Amino acid sequence: MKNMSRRNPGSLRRRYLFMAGIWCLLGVGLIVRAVDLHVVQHEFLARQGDMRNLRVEPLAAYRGVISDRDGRPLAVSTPVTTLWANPREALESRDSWTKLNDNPVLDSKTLAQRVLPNSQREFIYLARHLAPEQAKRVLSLNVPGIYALTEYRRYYPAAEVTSHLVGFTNIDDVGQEGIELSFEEALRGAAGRKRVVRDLIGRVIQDIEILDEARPGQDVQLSIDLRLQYLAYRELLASVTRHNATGGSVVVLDARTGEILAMVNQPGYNPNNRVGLAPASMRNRAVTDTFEPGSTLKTVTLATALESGMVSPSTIVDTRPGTIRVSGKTIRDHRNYGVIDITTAFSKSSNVTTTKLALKMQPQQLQTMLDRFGFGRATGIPFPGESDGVLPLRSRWRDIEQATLSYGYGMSVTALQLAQAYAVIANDGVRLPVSLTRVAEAPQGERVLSSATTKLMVDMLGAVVSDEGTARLARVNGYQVGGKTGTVHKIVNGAYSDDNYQSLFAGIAPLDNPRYVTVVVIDDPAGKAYYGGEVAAPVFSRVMEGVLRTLNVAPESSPGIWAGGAAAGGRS
Amino acid sequence: MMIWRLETLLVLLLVLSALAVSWSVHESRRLTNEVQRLQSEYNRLQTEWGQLLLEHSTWGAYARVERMAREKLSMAQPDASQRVVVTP
Repeated sequence: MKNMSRRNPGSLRRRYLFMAGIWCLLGVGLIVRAVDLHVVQHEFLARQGDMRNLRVEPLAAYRGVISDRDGRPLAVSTPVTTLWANPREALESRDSWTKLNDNPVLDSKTLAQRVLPNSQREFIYLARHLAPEQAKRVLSLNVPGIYALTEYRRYYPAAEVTSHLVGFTNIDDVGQEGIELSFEEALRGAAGRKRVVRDLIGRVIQDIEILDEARPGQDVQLSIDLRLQYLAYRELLASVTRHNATGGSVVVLDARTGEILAMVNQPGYNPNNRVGLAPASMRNRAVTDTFEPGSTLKTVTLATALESGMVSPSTIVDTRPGTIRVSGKTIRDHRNYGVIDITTAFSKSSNVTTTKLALKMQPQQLQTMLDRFGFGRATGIPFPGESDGVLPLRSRWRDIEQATLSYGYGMSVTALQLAQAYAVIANDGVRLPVSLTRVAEAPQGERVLSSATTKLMVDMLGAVVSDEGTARLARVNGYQVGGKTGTVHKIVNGAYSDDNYQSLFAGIAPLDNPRYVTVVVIDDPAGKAYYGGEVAAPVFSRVMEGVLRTLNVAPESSPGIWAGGAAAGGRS
Repeated sequence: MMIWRLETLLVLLLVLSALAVSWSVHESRRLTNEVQRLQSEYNRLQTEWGQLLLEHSTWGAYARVERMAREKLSMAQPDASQRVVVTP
């Protein structure tokens, strides 16, 4: 080489230029390529690259928890695994199906049955809502074309005890009944999405951006006290079973705040297993079903009479001969009570007395009062299918219409409306809106009765459970309670039935400082006992006893009340 | 000579910063992965919490507690006359 260059310097220079030219060409080539990749093909390549690395991942969002007033869970979502298949992919590797032979979760025969008829599809469900461990028994076998999907399933820990109230969701986790339906907007969480970079073995190595923020569902806290709910459920079930009744409801209200503390119905159902469920057992009868309130409404009639100053508790009425004729119809008492005062008449539930009072009133007077007590319109709680009840509005009242209304026929109410009306009396004459969710402080109410009338009414309700009254069985050991019975003929095929009844009791406690209201409805008790005082009153007694004990109300006839003053005095 | 020294220093800094970039990218990926792992751990625990909650409420259902208290432990509810109220 050395010799050659020395011999021919010109050729060396040529070669040098040649090489330089090649290098330049290479450089230009590189630049062209770089421009091509970075400018001309940039978009295409970037997209292709992203398609290989970037993945959109779901951000989980739970449906909100429904809990009772103390945070005990009533409805909880837990993740479950759903197995799905891509039949096209699955069919390409049928050999590996043998791995599923005799698999307890999904065996190869079932797989074939699901996949073969759907061979043209790209998505079929194989098994929905499996426990994650169960799904793992299939997924760990790595059968091609079988995938997992995380879904949420709703569980109801209190099951039958709260089912009518809480309702349930369908398989896609959308509320179908009860609170689950009415609070669907708030409870539902919206799953979010984010873009991530995954490496070769599928690990997420970089968060790129949040596409949709996950919005977790809000929790809903009800006003229900699960302890009281259970108690009411147990007592109602016992009574419905014992009297062979077709159904029933119990509602417990806190009259000071308007909160619903318990609301149970029979027949019930288990929301966790709804196979073969009869639609009739799904109704929350306490708010959807109406009935004629019968004698339980005499409380309002009497309150109207007392409020207008027409009578006083000691006014004497002549109920002889135990019947009264109005517009050609005969209204009867249970028996002839003779000449009695208003208090006794009320405690015996005398229809004659109530009729006489009603006929003395102005035509619109009772109707207006019933309206102010909240009858004839829904209470406004957020519950699907709440009934308005029926309060007839007439411009002219015939005597018989006014009379029947005064003892609770010719109108219809829900158990909740009845409880709301009795809460007026327990809350010093002020009607509060009832609430299904926890309220922080008592809402502004609307005065319906004067304080003085309310006090008289409380005593009247107490007289009903006295030895002379119709509801001795409603008494609660250790506490003063009051209430009113009702026994209503049911309407069967458009006419009042002679032997289908509804047994009612509505009452308040404790009488010295009324706060709690309980309404009991037993529908069509089939046994010999059917009077409200025999069937519904004992349920009231047991429920109210539990309510007062659970909520720490001091019994009146306790052997020794160790009051704070006495204890402090002992120490000083 | 001065320039020579400056160049060396710059090259050294360049190399160091290059190393730092690759280290921090690696670290960020590692941490992202860690976040993911913790996230799935959170989900797993959430699942377990749900299951334990259900188990808890099944075992602790009032009906069951009451039955056991009455039948196994022969407990009974005191009536009002047996109760003493203590007011603080």
